[in-house]
Amino acid sequence: MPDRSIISPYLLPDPSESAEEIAQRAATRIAYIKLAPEDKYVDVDRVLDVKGPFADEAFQGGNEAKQFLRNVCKVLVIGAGGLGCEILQNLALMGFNDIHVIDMDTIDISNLNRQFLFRESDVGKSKAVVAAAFIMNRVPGVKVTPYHGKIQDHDETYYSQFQLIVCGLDSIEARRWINATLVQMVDPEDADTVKPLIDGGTEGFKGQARVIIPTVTSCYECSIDMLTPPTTFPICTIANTPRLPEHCIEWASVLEWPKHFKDKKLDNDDPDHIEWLYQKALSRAQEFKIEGVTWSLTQGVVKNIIPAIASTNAIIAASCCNEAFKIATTSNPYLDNYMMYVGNDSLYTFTFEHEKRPECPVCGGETIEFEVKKDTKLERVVEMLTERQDMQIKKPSLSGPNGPLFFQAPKQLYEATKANLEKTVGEILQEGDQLNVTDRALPFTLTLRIKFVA
Amino acid sequence: MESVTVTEATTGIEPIPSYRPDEKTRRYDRQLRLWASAGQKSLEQARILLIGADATGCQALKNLVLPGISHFTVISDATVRPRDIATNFFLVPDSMGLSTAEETTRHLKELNPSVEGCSRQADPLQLLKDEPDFFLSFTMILSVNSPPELDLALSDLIWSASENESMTPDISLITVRNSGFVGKMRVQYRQHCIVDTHPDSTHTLRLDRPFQELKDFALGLDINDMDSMEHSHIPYVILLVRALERFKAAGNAEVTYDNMDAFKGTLLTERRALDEENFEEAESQAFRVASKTEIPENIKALFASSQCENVSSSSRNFWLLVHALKQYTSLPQSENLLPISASLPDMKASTTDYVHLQNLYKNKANGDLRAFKECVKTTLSSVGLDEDAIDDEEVVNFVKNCHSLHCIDGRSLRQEYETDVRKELIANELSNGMHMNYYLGFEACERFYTQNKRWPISEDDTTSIMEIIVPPLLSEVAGASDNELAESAVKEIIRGGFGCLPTTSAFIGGVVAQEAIKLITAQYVPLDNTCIIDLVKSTLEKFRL
Amino acid sequence: MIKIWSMKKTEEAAAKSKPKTSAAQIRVQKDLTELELPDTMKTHFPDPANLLNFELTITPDEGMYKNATFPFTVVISPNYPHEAPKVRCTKKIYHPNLDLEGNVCLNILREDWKPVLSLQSVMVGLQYLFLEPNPDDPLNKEAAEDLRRDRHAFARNVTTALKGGLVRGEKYDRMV
Repeated sequence: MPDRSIISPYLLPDPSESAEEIAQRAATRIAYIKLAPEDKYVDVDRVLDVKGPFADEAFQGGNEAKQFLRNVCKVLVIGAGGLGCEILQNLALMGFNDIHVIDMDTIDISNLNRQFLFRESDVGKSKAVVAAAFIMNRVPGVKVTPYHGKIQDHDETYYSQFQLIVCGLDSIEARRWINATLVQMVDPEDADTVKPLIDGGTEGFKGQARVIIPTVTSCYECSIDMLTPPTTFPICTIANTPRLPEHCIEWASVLEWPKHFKDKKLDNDDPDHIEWLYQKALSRAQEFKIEGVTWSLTQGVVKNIIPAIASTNAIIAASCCNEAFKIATTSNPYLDNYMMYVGNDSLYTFTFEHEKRPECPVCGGETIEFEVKKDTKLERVVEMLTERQDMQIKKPSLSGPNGPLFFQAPKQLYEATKANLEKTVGEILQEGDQLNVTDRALPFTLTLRIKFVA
Repeated sequence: MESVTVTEATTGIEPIPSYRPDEKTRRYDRQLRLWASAGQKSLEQARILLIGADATGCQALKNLVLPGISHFTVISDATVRPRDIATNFFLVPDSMGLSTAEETTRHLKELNPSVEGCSRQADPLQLLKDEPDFFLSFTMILSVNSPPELDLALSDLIWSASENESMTPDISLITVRNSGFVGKMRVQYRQHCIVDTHPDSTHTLRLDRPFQELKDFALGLDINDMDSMEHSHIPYVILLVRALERFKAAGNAEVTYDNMDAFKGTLLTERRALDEENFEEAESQAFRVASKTEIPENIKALFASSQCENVSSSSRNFWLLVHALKQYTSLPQSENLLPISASLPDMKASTTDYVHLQNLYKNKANGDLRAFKECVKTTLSSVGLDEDAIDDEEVVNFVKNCHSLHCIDGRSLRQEYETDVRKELIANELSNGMHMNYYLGFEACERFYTQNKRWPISEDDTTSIMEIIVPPLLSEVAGASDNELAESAVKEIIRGGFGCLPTTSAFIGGVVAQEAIKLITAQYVPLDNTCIIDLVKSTLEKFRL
Repeated sequence: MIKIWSMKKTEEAAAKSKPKTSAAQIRVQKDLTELELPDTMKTHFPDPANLLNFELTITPDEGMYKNATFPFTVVISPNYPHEAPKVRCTKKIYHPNLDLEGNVCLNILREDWKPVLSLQSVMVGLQYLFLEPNPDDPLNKEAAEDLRRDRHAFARNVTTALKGGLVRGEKYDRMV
């Protein structure tokens, strides 16, 4: 009986396979891996070997691009869900051989209509782990490193190991976080610190893909106002004048749940919890003669479920990976910088340049290298800011990596922080720390990057 | 209160039977929220034939197997090469040298245990000659990167099969071609009728001519006796109906966009406090009183068509129902309008007023429905069909969506090539960006294929196409002989070597599947009929050719 | 684009993990330091380093709720300002727009929230509820009914309730 792990760490044995069959499969796999690249990668190589009419001036093509794509470039995929599964497939087939994937979720049965790397027997397992194993088993030669957890578990050191990040998330919060992290990581002196972020999102037959070059193009935060805020209903309507089934469901989840269960948190994924809400909402609806409360609607409202289908995810993920490939190989110009796909009424795309917002709290404003002596008092720093003619700053407030340093208001925070004014910069800050300065005169935030001088 | 478990608390309340979804509903939950059980039922009856088991074809099929079609068959006479494994996710090293149809089928079937999958190792062109009926047993055929003559032969077969009056079976054919970063897709159907187009809004409040019951209710309210809460919760629909009456009583014939300010003035005479939100809503919705309720143009066009005029026992249900709808609009009770919609948007209102108002619309809609059903019966018997030949659910659904019915008459591939429609379009579009140039570039390459029995891949091929094929093609279809953009298009297409770039395949596979789903479910409006996908610039453009 | 990357991987910079400020936090800093609160409103931060959780007290200097102090908790999600702050009254108050659990019915806290609004708008909105309680969109139906029916009787009920008394069989928290 051969030791399965020796055959190939990436080969997933099927429970029905005999040892011999596995060995046979491993052998074919190795033979395939050993094939010359020009025998396998014919179709991808075409666009790398032949320069197209639209390719960048800098396009060298050929071996340089292939070498970078296949042996150097390390890509991070955030999310192993509907978009993530497709992204992993596409990246692997395009020749990105070193892929990492992060996802904190486990597989649910409702994922199976589109998250095609998962099977019924995988329900309950980590998405990142199962997806990585599936890709490595299916596409020989690709290494996918999974991480089952939150993106916030990692710091800049982790993110700086990648050249590209492709995001397929359904959470605005996670997107804002990774966007801010990548913008923050940019050191203007060092081009390697610029990590292109390619972000996709879908809803029903619609979706969008965009390319964010941190600090160069508009960032995710620049467009945050374009998002539709989450649907909410007035509390008094929910409490007293329900008209829609949704009002009854919100009554059950927003008002009744906390009344009955005090501090017990509502778990959207627990069917018993949904059942309780459904029954509550239904009896309220009957009382008010409102029609339309169903289990499915209850779950939809409470979980804020967005309809999702395989084909839309395929389109958007393909677009994201196409951009990743173009960026990595310069084989064609990459998207500048936003594409919307609408498929519910015939089909069309809208491709445009989303503009940077000067007052964006993440990429807008200014970052100043702030040279200061270690023994300078914070009070002096505040004065130095107000002395700058170009800024018109009058009453700046400052926060550092660990929270407020000096706040002009509210009173309690002023009292709590004013003692810092007497401290020296060396006592409260470290080299490279970033200070956020806000002031009524500044439409945006000013960031000071601390540099100690003698 | 001590914290209790959910089960304990649940047992405390009145036992209502649970409607927890079964496993299948849970699996398909995210898509059922789009096309509902009716759409799912159609999908689960769909039989799809894939010709061309390359990366693009398999990606398209993947996106149809996942949502749960009934059956698919893959036809190909190819055997698996290493380069296929490198681009097609549904092939593995073990597949090498084996039948592409069989190997892709095996891996595609794993995606959904409830889908039946078959493979046929055969030359599709030969099969088309030997067993044409085989092709007619499918709901839809996807022909991906097939030789041009196969696409045309398929198109002819399917088109002529539905030449009869009922246009059945109307099998859709989606043809796809891609090379490198660009692709082209075309959809062929005889006629596609959609009842549920999923419009943004389905409300027909009819505020310019409120029906009697609505008027009675609105005018019967004694608003002077109301306290401030009741007054600030009068639904805007009621406020507008009342305002319209007062406006007319003051000698105005109707509300128009020109006298809108005066109408709003009339409306606000009933307002008690500036912060009454229901009056704010009424003001913002006042335009509805000025917009004339009538039969929408798209429905009038359906009424005018010969298929509506000349119904017979072999007419499609859609046309029988359209015919009945036209009859309905000539009934006195219809006031020459379509049946009213039962749906009411949310508005500031007390629960009782809202529910009452909703019931007024519902009752009116039910009355309209009853009258319409009579028209359906008359229509059916007039063509010699049973009065209940169309089931009730379909009739109800038709009425519910009767304001946004949609019908597209398709065009065949032969019509595209052999009529003048495209000449004008091409001439107009050639200088208008790359898309039409890619269309032309593909056609040039197809002509090259027909002459050489292989796709152009080399620089020499590019030169020969630019010198020999493109000039006559340009003068033939566009009356021009020279086009710089066309040269770029041909170069970019040939650069791809007529191979599948996996991202392009995945993109087109997604677009094909979206269109396939729209066609199969007969929901949402599908492509009519050609789409050029440019992943150099990440844009696409559609043309009716 | 390869040109923005050097082809060989540079040595990893020494780990210099800097906890960074989120966009939500920066925005909250801006909102807070630019607050212009009248003397009737005060903020209190249980942990001055945590700007996302704080208490707000309102002591109206006019109207029926004059001179009582009303405590609220304000919780700001990491998704601020995409999502509105969550505000809750920690005492049981007789007020048409507050329920007995401390929920507040204020449009800009829910359906009318927009990212351009700020903590200042929220606080001003809250204070307005005490100056002009709105009886027409109630959370506490009884209180609203009392106010609609007889403003003076309502005012007396307010006084009773604020002293910790019973109104319509409900005992309220003592606030003065």
